[in-house]
Amino acid sequence: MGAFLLKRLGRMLGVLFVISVIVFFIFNVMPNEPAAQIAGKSATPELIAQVEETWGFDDPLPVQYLTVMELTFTGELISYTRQLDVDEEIWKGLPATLSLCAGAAVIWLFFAVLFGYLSAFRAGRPTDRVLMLVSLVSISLPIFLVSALALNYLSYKLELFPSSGYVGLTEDPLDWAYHLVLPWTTMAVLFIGLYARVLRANLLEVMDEDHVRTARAKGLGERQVRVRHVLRNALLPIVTLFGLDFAALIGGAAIITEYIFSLGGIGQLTANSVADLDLPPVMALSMLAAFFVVVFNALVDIAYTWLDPRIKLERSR
Amino acid sequence: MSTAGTPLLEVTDLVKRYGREGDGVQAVDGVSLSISSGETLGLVGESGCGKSTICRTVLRLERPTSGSIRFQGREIADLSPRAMRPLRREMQMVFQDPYASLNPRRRVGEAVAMPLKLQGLAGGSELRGAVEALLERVGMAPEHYDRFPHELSGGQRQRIGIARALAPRPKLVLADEPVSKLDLSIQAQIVGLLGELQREMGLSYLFVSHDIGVVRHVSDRIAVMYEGQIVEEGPAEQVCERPAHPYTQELLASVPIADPRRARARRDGGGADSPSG
Amino acid sequence: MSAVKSAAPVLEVDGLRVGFANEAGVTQAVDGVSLELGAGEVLAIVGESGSGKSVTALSIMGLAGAGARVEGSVRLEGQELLGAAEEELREVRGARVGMVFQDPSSSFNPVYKVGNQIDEAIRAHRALSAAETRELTLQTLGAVGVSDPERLAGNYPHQLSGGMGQRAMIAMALALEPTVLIADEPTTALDVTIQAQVLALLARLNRERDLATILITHDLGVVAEVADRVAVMRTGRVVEEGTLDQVFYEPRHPHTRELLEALARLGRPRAGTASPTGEEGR
Repeated sequence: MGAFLLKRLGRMLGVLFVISVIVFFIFNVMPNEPAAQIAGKSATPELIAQVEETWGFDDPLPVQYLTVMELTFTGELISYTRQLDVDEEIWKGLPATLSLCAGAAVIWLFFAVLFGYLSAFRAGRPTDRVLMLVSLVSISLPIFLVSALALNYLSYKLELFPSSGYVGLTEDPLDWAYHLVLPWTTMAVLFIGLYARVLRANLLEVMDEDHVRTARAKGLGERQVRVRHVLRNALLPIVTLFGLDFAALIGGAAIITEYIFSLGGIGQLTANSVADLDLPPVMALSMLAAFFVVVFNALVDIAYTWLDPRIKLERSR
Repeated sequence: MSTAGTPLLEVTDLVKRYGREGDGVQAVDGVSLSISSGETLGLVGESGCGKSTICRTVLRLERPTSGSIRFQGREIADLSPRAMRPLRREMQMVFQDPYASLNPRRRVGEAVAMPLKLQGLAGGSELRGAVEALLERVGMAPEHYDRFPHELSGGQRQRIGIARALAPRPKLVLADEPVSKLDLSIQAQIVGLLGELQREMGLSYLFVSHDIGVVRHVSDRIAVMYEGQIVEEGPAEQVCERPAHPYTQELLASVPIADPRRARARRDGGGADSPSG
Repeated sequence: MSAVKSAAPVLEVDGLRVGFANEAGVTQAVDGVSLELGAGEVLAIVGESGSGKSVTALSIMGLAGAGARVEGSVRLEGQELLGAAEEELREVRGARVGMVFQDPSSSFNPVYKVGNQIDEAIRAHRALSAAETRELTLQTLGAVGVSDPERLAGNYPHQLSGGMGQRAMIAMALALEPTVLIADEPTTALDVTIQAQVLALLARLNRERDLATILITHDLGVVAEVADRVAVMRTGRVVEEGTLDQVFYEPRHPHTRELLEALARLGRPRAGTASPTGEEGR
């Protein structure tokens, strides 16, 4: 286990390095004027030049890179446009993003398992066809469309749900949930379809395996056979899928949903920062996203060895 | 049967280890054997004894950890893959699983043609004719050229495997459990075919199997393997009728006898050759 | 093996027909099979691949699969199994008829420990406490010749050797002391020395527990070692049936003779030929 963790740590550092270089490179290739941004709208050329010097924009690129890196890791990054402390902004935005993703995950996993299970065990019959059609539709609907429609009809027209904003869990649990119902649902819609289909395929495959026949031959009830011997085994690949999706989600794929519902999470922060061509937050957020992905990858691998006793962490060679 | 002079294949102190020094598995642990021209050596052992590893190592599909492999008098244990290429014509292998060793997306005729093409033995218009001749030789019809593996029975697939092995006209054929997965009556046919081909083409066989009954039937000499080593070796009849090593004795005693009276006699007689239970 | 045959057969199969539907129509895997299994008797069903022997065995337990069309009659101690309600069948499976399959490494669920899977089989039929269940599991493992039952129970299926896995599978099938054991190619995947041990085990269990056994195999040697009676199957039908000696020494059907002759061509020991061990035939 120790060797495994060390390897993964090394890998993470490698990934973070590569991402930071790429982000930095992109920023310096794109036409932008950070000094002008910082100096503000009515800046004089002298002011801009002064800003350049203070901030080091006239330094050679590698030096600039190192500076940014140093600032990132010491937590002193200041964004170019709003002079805000990047760290603080991220910290403020995390709860919203985590609430959104975790809640959506619970919903989508529940329904995906339900639909996948029903579909697989009624394969070919009407239930299956309907559910698979629903899944296909849900995968095909763009998330911004679903969000926009939900917002329009359920929020503005029918005023069933609030249209924006995030309320902290600790402040008011009920209000917290109330504000998140729509975002949760629109986000879950896409994933339910995807996961239900994958689970269905896995279930159909496992159903034909020898150990299922043995389970029936022992005299187990059909429900028990299906849950303990088919579902349990078929869920394994879903674990991997989920780990990666969830990491990507937290890292910022929730951007659209956060943006439409104005939840103020780090996805929204990312969207705004990119729009403003604001390097520091984008750098920090990219690295954060990469960090999440690597960590979740490792967690998934570890979980897998625990869930499937045949798998070892490293190939014994 | 066997000719005097240099053996066709001579293996000395072959060792193949997997894994790191001190921590690995000695799949083959100092094995020596030899096969003369036109002879069949049967290699018998149970799962995990190393017999399949020997096949792969002798054919240089893997590199031995140490030891010598001389083919036609020439040392091949440390030859580069490039240097091995021309030799591949002379040594071929028939695999155990007719379902797994043929590419399901290729027509079987193409599978047989491949060695001919790769070794430059036939080409263009002659190729198909050469393949069809081979198919007939192993008891298939020329039309089978266009079939896919899943359209053939297990026995037929194994015949294709044999045709493919014989295409380059090798001197030595390693057969790794060639009949184990087949029905009994088909086993008999394939074994018969292998015998005919041996006589016709002057082939030498290394016949590897866990089934000592079949091995006895086809081999001139038998070597018994256990945990990476050869524990007994000798003429087939001698090894089977007067086994010297306890493992050979246990192996022979375990073979079920398809003769109820003898089986009962063996059970009731008790003693040395009853299987423990 | 017991030579005593009680009056009423324990299992009666009458006109069993099993078909599977596919694009081409219906394939009859089993085409009118009738068999009888006496109490304490070992019946071997022999045939090549495609003969329908496995499907016959599975159909007795109602395990042929959802796509199977099954007709005919299967009576266990007088009770009709074909067409019976699921609850009835479930009570029969495991408790009155135990089944052993060919490959222990795939026939156990790879994600649960072996002991837990045997416990599960017991709990499906008996209301015992966890401790009592485990006690029975360990006991049964011991009875099938496992020297360290606790250790084996704590292993996962992929950690067991072929012989140990098969013993575990047999233990699981016999834990509830069924009347009938169906073994589908139980030794085919095993090394010959281990095969001999497992066969001896099955023979011993048959004797000690008066356990009626159906043994499915393609290996006539296995048949000769353990069977009392033999049924030879080919393309879904029983072509020959009789006592062990009858079938081996006075085969009537050409297919039976074919199988016996194939043995001879392979140099296998059989009636009338010398064996690899040099013993003479009759």
